[in-house]
Order: sequence, then C-alpha cells, then structure tokens
Amino acid sequence: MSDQVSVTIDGKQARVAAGSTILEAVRAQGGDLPTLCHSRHLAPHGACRLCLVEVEGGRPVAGCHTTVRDGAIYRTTSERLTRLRRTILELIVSDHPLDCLTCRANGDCALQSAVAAIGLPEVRFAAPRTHHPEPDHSHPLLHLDMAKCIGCGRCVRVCDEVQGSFVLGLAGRGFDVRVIAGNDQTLEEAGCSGCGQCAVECPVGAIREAGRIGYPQREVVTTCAYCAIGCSLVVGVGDGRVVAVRPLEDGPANRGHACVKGRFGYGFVHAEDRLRTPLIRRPDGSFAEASWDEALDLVARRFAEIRDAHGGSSFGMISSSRCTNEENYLAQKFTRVVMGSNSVDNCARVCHSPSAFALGAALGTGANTGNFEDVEAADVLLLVGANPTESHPVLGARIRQAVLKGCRLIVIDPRRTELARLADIHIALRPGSNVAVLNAMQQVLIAEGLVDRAFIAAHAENMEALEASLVGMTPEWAEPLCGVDAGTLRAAARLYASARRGLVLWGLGITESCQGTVAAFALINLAVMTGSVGRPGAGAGPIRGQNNVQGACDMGALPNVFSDYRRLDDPQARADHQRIWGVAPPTQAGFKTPEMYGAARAGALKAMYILAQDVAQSDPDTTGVVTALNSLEFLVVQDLFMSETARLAHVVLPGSSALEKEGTFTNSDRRVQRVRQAVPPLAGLTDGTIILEIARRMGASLGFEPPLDAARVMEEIARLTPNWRGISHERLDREGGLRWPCPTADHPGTAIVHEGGHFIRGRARLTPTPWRSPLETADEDFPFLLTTGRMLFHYNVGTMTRRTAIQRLARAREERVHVHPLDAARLSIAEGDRVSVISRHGRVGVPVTIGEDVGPGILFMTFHFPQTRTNLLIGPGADDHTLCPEYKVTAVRLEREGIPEAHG
Amino acid sequence: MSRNLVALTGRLVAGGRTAFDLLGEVSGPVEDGVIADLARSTGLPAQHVRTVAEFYDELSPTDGHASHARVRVCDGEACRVAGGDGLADSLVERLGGEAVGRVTCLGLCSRAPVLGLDTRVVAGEGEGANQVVAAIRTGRPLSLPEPENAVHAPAAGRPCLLLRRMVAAPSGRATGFPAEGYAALARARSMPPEAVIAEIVDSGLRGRGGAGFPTGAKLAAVAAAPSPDGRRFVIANLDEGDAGAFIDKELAERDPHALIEGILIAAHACGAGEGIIYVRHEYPHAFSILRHAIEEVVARGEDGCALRLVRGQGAYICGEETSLIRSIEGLPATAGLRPPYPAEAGLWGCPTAVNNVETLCTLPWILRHGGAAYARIGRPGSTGTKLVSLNNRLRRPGLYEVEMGTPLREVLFGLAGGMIEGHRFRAVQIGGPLGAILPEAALDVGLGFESLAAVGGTLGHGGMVVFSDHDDLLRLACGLMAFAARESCGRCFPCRIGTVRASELLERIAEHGLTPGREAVLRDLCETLRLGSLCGLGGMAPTPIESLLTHFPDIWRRTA
Repeated sequence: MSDQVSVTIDGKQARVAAGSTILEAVRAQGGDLPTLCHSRHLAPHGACRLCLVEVEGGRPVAGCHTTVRDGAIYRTTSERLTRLRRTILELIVSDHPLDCLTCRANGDCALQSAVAAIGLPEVRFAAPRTHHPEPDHSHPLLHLDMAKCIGCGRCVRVCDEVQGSFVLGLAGRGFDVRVIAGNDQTLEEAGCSGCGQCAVECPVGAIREAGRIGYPQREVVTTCAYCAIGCSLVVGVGDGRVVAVRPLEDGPANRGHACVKGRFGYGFVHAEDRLRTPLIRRPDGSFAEASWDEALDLVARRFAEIRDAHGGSSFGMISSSRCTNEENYLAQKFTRVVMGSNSVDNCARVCHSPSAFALGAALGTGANTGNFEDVEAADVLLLVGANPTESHPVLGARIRQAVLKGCRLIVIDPRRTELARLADIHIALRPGSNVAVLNAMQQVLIAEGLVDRAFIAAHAENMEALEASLVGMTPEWAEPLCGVDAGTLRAAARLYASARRGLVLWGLGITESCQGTVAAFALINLAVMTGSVGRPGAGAGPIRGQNNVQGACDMGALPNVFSDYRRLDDPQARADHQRIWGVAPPTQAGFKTPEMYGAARAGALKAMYILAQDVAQSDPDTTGVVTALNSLEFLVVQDLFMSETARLAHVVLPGSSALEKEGTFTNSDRRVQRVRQAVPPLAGLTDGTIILEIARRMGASLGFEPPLDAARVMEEIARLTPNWRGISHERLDREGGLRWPCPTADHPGTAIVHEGGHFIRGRARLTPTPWRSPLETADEDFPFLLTTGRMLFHYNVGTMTRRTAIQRLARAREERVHVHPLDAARLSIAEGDRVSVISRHGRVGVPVTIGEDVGPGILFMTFHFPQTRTNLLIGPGADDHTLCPEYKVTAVRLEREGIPEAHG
Repeated sequence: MSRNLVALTGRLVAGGRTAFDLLGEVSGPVEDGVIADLARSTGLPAQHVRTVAEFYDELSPTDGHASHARVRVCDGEACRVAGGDGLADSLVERLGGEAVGRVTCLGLCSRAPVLGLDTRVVAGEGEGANQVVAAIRTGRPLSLPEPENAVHAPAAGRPCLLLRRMVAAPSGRATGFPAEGYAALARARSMPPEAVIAEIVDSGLRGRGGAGFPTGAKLAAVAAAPSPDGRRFVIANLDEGDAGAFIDKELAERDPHALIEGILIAAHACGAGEGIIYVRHEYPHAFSILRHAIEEVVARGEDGCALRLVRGQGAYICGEETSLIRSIEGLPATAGLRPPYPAEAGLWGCPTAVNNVETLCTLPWILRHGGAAYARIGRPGSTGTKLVSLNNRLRRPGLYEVEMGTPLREVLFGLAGGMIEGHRFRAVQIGGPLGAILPEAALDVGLGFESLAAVGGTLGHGGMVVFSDHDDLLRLACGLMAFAARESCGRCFPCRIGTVRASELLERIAEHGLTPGREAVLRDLCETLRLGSLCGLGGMAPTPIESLLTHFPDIWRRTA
C-alpha cells in the first residue's frame, strides 16, 4: 500500500502509515517514548526532547514531530539516548522543587514517572539559578504553583488549540519564560473560563484543581447533566462522595474536553440543603418530615382519589430533562397508563418545542439533521440566537477553533457575543425581529438566484408558496424592522449561499419568541433552499439547552405524541402500546404546560406531579404559575432542593441527581449515552424508583417492579420506539453512545439524518414564514428591550451551580443588567449602581454592568439568580404553535435605586 | 503555537497588521498600560500582546538588557576584546547605571569598541565617550562623524562580484538608482522562471547565512510547493545578529539596489508576489537606506512585486528562519518545528524563500554573467566569492570579498596585514558567537563549507573575530554561553535550561578551574545542547566551547 511506509523500530520491521510521526509509529507497535510536552489533544511541540530517537546514519531526532521515513531504522533506546534523556531530566529537576511526597501531583506527575523510568542518579549543578514564584490560590477552582512549572506550554496550548480562550501565554524568553494569565493578572482577572483543561494537561503539579488531593477510590464514567452537548465525564468517588470530575479522553461528544460546569459543578450533590426525607405539608402550611412509606402512600392515595373522582384529565405531569430517558419514559407511561391522562409535558415546552415542531413538520423528525462534527466540516456557519461559548462551552470552543481554521461565520444575535466579535458578519438585530431578518435573507436567495433549484425540484415541495409569501420582503423592507442595514443582510445571505457546506445552528434566541416556530421554519427553509442539508458539514438544527431535553421529548413526555414522536391517533402506535402496556392509552389530547396552568386556575386540573423543575422560578408569568399551583387540590414536587415550586407542594419528594442513578441521556445531536451511578441516592430512592413505587401503591403496574432496573426499561423503550430499536444498555456499555435513528441491533447509529436529500417525510416542506411584530415593543414608558440568556458560570435557575465552588467566582456571584455605555451615560448610571428594571409585568432590582455587548436601547440579564427572579419581568406572550414563552424580548424601563452601594 | 493567534489577529486587526507591528509603532517604552490599551482596543488577548512585547528586547516592558537605556555599549566579542567592557564601566561611573545598557552588536567591529546613542553610533575611544557623556548631560549634539567599516577592493584580477559598485563609487556607497538599471532583473524577466532557477542551480550558489543550502534548490522548492491561497514570499534575512559580522549591513547600506534586484529576481524565479526585508533593530541606517531605495524602485515601476520592510525588535533568534517568520506573523519568535520547511509552508503558511542578504545580492551577478561563470569562481561545492568581515585586532580590518578556497592565513595575514602592533595571533572565531574558535594551526585551510567543517569549524555567515595573546579565551567562552542563554527563545528544554547551566558552570570553571567532574558535566551539557536542541541556536551554542576544549587545553588548566 502506498500510504504506508516500512520502518525498523528497535530491530523489528513494521509498516506504518505514511505521514505518521515516529512517536505514533512506536506507539502503534506497542512501544512508547518518554514525553513531557506532548499531548495527543495538541499539535506536536518538540520542546522537552525526551522523545529523541536514534536514526541509523544520522543524528537523533525528536519522535513527537519527526515523520517516519521509508526504510529508516530507528532505535528508541541507546546508551547515548539514556545519557541525553538523563541530562534533560537533570536540567528540568535543577529548577524544580523536590517536595514530591507532599506535592498535590504525587503519583500523577509525568516528570516523576519519567525520572523513575529513566533514572537520575544525581543533579550535578552547584547553586543553580532557579525560579520560586509564590503559589497563587486566588482562583477558587484552579490552583497555580508555578515554581513547579517545567515550561512545556501544554496549558498555554490547550487554552489556545482546544479551549480557544487565549487566557494563558508563555511570556519572556529563554530561562525566564513563564506562564502568565492575561496581562500578567490572576486567572479571574484575565477572563479565564474555568474549563480546567490546563490542569488536565499540566504534566506536573503547577496547575491543579483546587482541593484535589490523592487518588479517588474509584471512578465512574457517565454523561454530564448540564447542557446538551453530552460530555462524557469520569467521576471520581472517595468516601461515598464525588471528589473530582474530569473529561473522558475519548468521550465521543467532547473528545477529552469539558467546561467549568461539567468539571467543577458537582458540589450540589452533597449540598447541606439537599432534601433528605419526604415532606408532607401540614394544615398550617409548614412541612413535616415523613417516611418514604407515609409520603408515597399519601401520594398514591390522593392521585387515585382525584383520578377516580375527576377522571384522568384532572391530572398533569411535568417531566424533566434532568431525568433520564428511562425515567421520562416511565413518567409518560405513568401519566397515560396509571392516571389515564395525556397531560404530560416537559421543559422543552419553554425552550425548543418550536424547533422540534418545525423540524418535524418540515423534514419529518424533530431533531438536529446533523451532528457536532459538522462544525468542523462546514465552510460557512450561520449561528442564530445562540451563545454557545457560554451556554454550550465545549461546542462553543469547537466553533471558535473552526472559525480560526477558516470557517466563515455569520452570527445573528442582538448581543455582541464572543463569537459575534469573531464573526465575518454580525447581524445585531433588535430583539424580536428574527423573522424579518430571515425573511430578508430568504428573499435575497430567491431574488438573486442563489437557491439550488435542482435540489428543490428533487427533494422539496411548496417552493411556489414560499416564493409568493416572500415577495417584497427585501433587506430594505427588513431594515427598519430589525435595525440592521440592508447591505449587511444581503451580504449575510450571499455568504451563506456561497457555502459548499453551510451549517445552520440556532438557540433559544430563535425559539423563545412569539414567532419561534416561524423563525425555525425560516432557518430550515434556508437550508433546504440551498441544498445545505443531509451532508457532512451541511445541516440545520437547534443547540438544545439541557442535558436530556432531546430525550424527554424522544420518550414521549409530550401531550400529543408517544415516544419517537408517534402521534396519539396513529393506529399502529396505539396498537403497539396497547399490546405492550396491556391497556389502551387515553385518547383525549393532553395539556401543554401553560395549558395545565390555565386548567388549574380554572379548576379543571386538580393534581400535578412535577419532576425536577422549578417552574415557579423558570417559567414566565410567574404570578400566574404560582396561582395555578396554589389552585391545585394536590401537588407533588420531586426535586433535589426546597425550590420555589416545592414550597407550594402538598408532598415534596427528595429527587436524585444524575450522579445518583443509572440510565441514559440523549444529547443535542441525538446521541444516546449512558448515565451511571457514582454515589447512591442521598434520600434512598431514585426518581425512577419513586415513580414505580407510586404506581405500585396505586395497585397499578408499569411493567417493572421497584427498584428501577433502567436496562429493562430501555428494552421496553426499544420495542415501542422504532428509531431506538437497536439501542440497549448492553450495546451502549460496549460501544459508547449511539445516535438515533438506530433501528436494529447491528445498526451503527445515524450521524446525519435525511442523507442525500432523502427526507424522512419524503420531500422537505418549504413553509411560508409570515412576519409579525413582537408582542412586546418599546414605547415611551418602556423604552428598552430586555433580552435574557445564560452566562458561562451558571445553568438555568442556578439550582445546581449556585451550590458549587463555581459560585465563588467573582463573575458568578450576582445578577447584573447589561447596559450600553451610551444609555448608562444618558441615565447617569455607573458600573455597579443598583437599578430597578420594570416591565409591564413586574419589576426587579439589580446592579448594572456597562459594556458594548448590548447595543443602545437593549438590555441583557440572565435568569440564574433566585434573589433577582428575572422571569418576573417576562410577559405571557408565547409562540403560536407551541406556547413556548417569549423570554427573549420584553419592553422595560430602568430606574435608579437611590444612591449607589458603597464599594467593598 | 499558534496558527490560531495568527488567524485571530487577522480577524480582529485591520490591514494585516499584528501585535508585533502595533507594539513597534508605540513611541517610547512599552508599559503595562500600553499592553492593556492595545489589547482592549484591538480585542487581541492581553496575554498575546504581553508575550510578544516581552519576547523582544526593544518592546519589553521590563527587560534591562538592551532597551530603554539611551547609551548602549556594544558587547560583541570584537568590542569586548577591544575594551568595550571597560568603556561600559566608565560610562556607568559617569552617567549612572540607568543610562547605560549593552547591545549585541552594532556591526562596526572594525572600529571597536563602539557604542550607540539613540540611533547614532559612536567610536568609543577617547573623544567619542566624552561627547556621549556631554550629550546625555547637556543635550549637546554629537559632532563626531559616524564610524564606518572599511570596505576593501579586491586586488586587481581577483573576482569582485559583490563589492563592485561600492568600491567603484567615490564615496564607497553605491546609493542612488544604479546607472545600469536592473539589467539582471530584466534578463531574468525575459526568461521563464525555470530557466532562472536553472541558472542559479548551475552557479552552485549556496546560502550565505550559515546553513549553506543550495539556493537554486530552495527557489525550485518554493516554486513547486502548493500554496493554500496562491501566495508565495521571498524574505531577505537582514537580521544579521552574529557579533563580528557586518557583511549584510554594508551590503544593504552601500548597495541597497543589489539586494532589491536580487529579491525581485528570486521572486520572479519562485513566483512570489511579495518580498520582505527583515531588518534588525540595531541597523537603523540600513532600514532607512532600504526604505529610500524601495521608493526609488517603486517610482521607476521596476518592482513588479510588493516590497516591504519589517523592523526587528531585538531578538537574536530572529536570524533563525522559522523564528523570523513567526516574528513577521506577529508572534513571539520562538523557533518552529521543521519540517515543514519554510519553502513548503512558511509565512502565513505559504511557500517562502528565506534567504540571506549576501545570497540575494549575488543573484544579479549570476543573471548577468550566467551560472556557469559563477561556478568557475571558487571551488567545487563552495563556488563563487565570500564576503568576510574582520575586526580590528588586525591591521587592516573591514569587509573583504575573497574567492572561496582562499586560505584563512592569506585572508588574515595577507589581506588584513596580520595582527596589530604588540599582539600575537591566538585564535579566530568564524561564523559568529556560535562558531568554532580555531587556533593558528587551522589557518591553512581554505575558505569553504566542507573545508572548514573538516577542521571542526563552520563558515557560518562569514564574520571573523580574531583574538590575540592579550585576550582571555576562557572569559570569552563565558560571555558566548551567556549570550546564548540570554538569546535562547526558551521553547526547547535543552537550550532553555542547558545554556544557563552551561553558563553558570563556565563561570565556576573560570573561577575555580576545570576538575574532571566539571568537565564531565560540561561535556554532557554540550552534547545535550548539540544533539537535543530544537534549532541551531542551542545546537551550535556548544561549538565554541567544544572547540576551545579541543584546541586550547591550556586555557582550562590555568587555575585548576
């Protein structure tokens, strides 16, 4: 074979891939070379020179960056190599403390291992010049002890080549080269994102996770429970507690990377205020601790009474992306089989229900058409309403790398996010004007002949209707609606159309709006019109917000579908379910979450069971939600903590975190991955077991006896879910993740759906996307538009992250409203001043931060902080098709709150 | 490290400029505030701006070696043996330590010792130092003329290729657009590029920067390598950092059009659309003369290829081609991995011919007279002539053009007239501070790549510094290793730490003598530097030490 070369390594002939390095060749033959500066996640660096090998007829060369030469004869050991390696180690050790036994890296130090392997009889330098910088423990998550630094640059390179934050640098020259953060600042001052990858790469004890000492007693591989990237993590356990988390080197979604939340956000598992026993509300409104038997019996009795008295439609279940696929499956089965109701929904309602709806309607299935690897294959990326470097940091980092390697980037976002700053084109549109922008882009594609007519003719339908609907929606038409000049809109459309592999990714900035579904249709139209779908690097899809929001929907925790999005009125689906469930599923359509609240307020819904979701904080129109929950005859809330929602419950059941249970999650690119128990459930029962217990005590059967055996549940899921038929725990344990569709036990899973334009629904449907103004518009009384989103260090309402070490980071401590400098100057507001943000629906007090990440007239807040409760500001507006709330645009005004607080 | 920062800079900073360029435009010393402001205004990572600044002496916000002191006494070997250290000490006494720094080297080794005052150079003996003191104290301008290196015309009948125009000019400087125009370029452009390359291949010309790589083969490789965006570059390496060498300096200052014409010929040969001259900071006159010359060429429409000057900022390593490229790309100029070689993937990832100035200046002659004519000069394997620069331990120091193969003895004792009064020849270091130091016994070897290698020497860049019986070779060795340590980029471990340990050990040996134990450590260090280092700086750093161990055993025994 021409792509192989023949080499001799230590006397043995071998054929190795041409272009591979000597190090790779040696490793491929089962050998190894000592290295300190090398990492397989980084480009070869050639600095430590320990990997020198002898080459017959020449000088020694470094194995890590020298490529193999056909016919070459290499030796990995020789007297000379040992001498050279020892001298190099002697040089390193001459400027390295010898406190190995008390070093945090003891036993986990590549220098220690290399010295042990190669041997170092003595250090022969008398009174050598050395470096003794003081340790820097200012960062709550990462400790620096640069006296131990060996100058390999791996931390700097991973901050560049993987994370792309460019926080760390190697400053100075020669012997005095040192690792710096920012302008010689602390990590926090320098804007470190806390991904901790530097600590993973550090071969010695110079950068370590704070607090970590000694080996964990055991390690468990599981899937991250924060965002929907689905990072594989290795959880270290000691004395029954989670003591460390690191990314799995070969994690299929994360490839050895993780973010600050995944790596450092585990402390909540052992938080003092975790619920440890069930609680039953006393008549006086206070809660009494109860045994599991008392609580579960009460829940079973009341659910049965209400069902029997008022019928199944009086019951509603809100399931959760925090729960596993198996638990979500059981939640909807419980609702349908035991309670006789279809009123089951999950938190996708308030995030990506429009994406799922639009993708399902237009293409045939409500999920991402491609996968995260597309980011590396795409030549143009259109990123809309998403801020992945903060919300999905591992994906964000990958996008940043792709852009720096030449992928063109268009960002549509009101905020000047990090990726917007890097973008070729940033459309800083007015919040609420997505559809105006996207219609203008569609119009340009059509008007300028930039659509792929052949693809449309072969694979799409309804083009005429779409074209007709877009007449007149020129960039000039959109300009006054979105506040972006027509030329920029036109350029963006042209750039997207110029792609050979165009990728559209969107976030909640698209969906959480009264035109969420329409905007999603518009994005799908762009992809279909240009034929940019169903190929590597070409596709369209949402970046899901939560770990298992895809799975919660896939499992049928939705009021209108069974698992696999099979319609309730699909005769085959009904027959299948009746056969396996043993009962006929209810026929009456269920309520969506906001409809449940309405029904509760109207008295039609009597009982609710809410899993792992703090709807009284996370959902909009908070007052309405609280009224609804207070109207219920019986409310069961299952959560880790006494949440705002739990306070309203009649029975509070202690939930279990993802680190406490077995099962699976499905990430944003449809990859089903295992969740494994690292520590036992704190209160004794997992969420799935609790559901089974309630059913059992109601005299019903869900087909499984408690405690939950998740693998058995997956077997039933596979039988009822055609696209999951080939998925089992046994396969997942053996092969890692599997991306659905995976219809048979020997199917490898599907990286790209609709491949080659063969859409699941047959032809892709192009859908007209009529524009209408947002419900919330600025006026004299409410002159600002507030948009909301996440920040890097927190997750959703902060229930988890606020109970971790992450909370100690200065930037993570409190909510701030972001104001443009011009607005701040006009209102005489200074950094840190407290203001009231007042909408037509509520008011909150919050300090100000001033910056150009928002444009004039626009404000930004997160919703992570219960003491601020940003969602009090959000109105009842919602997407027409899915009732997804309009979180992303609210008209507000700012008022100064007295005099600024004294600093310090 | 780091294609990403190059790409990021391209996205954030307009006009193809880099952190290196922006820092170079800052007037006055680079303070912390400057770094923070630059980072903020451009969006570039503060770390990046700072690491670039700290890498270069002239941009460094804190470094004490060369920057910020208005007076800088040259500490190249020629100046040191001629009294540079004493001169520096006396100036420190008169002006205070803050005002006086050192620099390596100002390229006036035939007039040593010299010192710089701002951008002026002053001969340091007697009146020069007094005038500098007065200038600092009272602001009185210098009245002394700038010292110049003598340029010697070859004897009649000896080949004169490179010095031809300057020795013909009454001023010794062939400035102004040449009367003959760019005749060689015109001939080159009348030929297909392959034919130009063939002519250069026929000449047998090898690079004059030290490595001796065949120039024709390099240009052919650049022409043949695929370019990611179609661009190709020619870079003239005028980062002549070797102490003792002033060859490229004189070429650029006295006949700048030969260099530009050479660049344009090379660009035509390899298909480059841009020629860049990287000029070391210590050569301000060369910079302004070249700038003027480029304007002349552009005004005459002779360019046909974009020409650009980049000013170095004080880092010896930039003479190494991968470092030089990284410097132009705006990165800290640490040595890069090879392969890929710049000819395949150089500046901005494009095929790039990095050539020494003397090499490029030779191309016009070859194009005018043909490669075969050039090959007839010199010796097989080392064709043509070589410029050599000589320091003022010799009677007639300065710049000479000698035919390859000329014995060293003839150069030093014939052409340059032997040692000055009262001095006996002790040693000669050829090829800069990393070159071998050879004893008198080696002087019968002829000038050439292989012939010098055969006696453990290197032709290097052609700078020669002669030492006499007055000069302390062991102290010299200490200084050379200290120089290597100071200029190490810090990327590879052997050089980063090894040069410092070797420097410490040499100081110890100079103080306390060479014991067998110390010799074993020294030899291990030399071996590790030579075989383990990533680039030539660390790899060559032990050369003078090893040659002193071989040829001058007596200097080591002195205090043992």
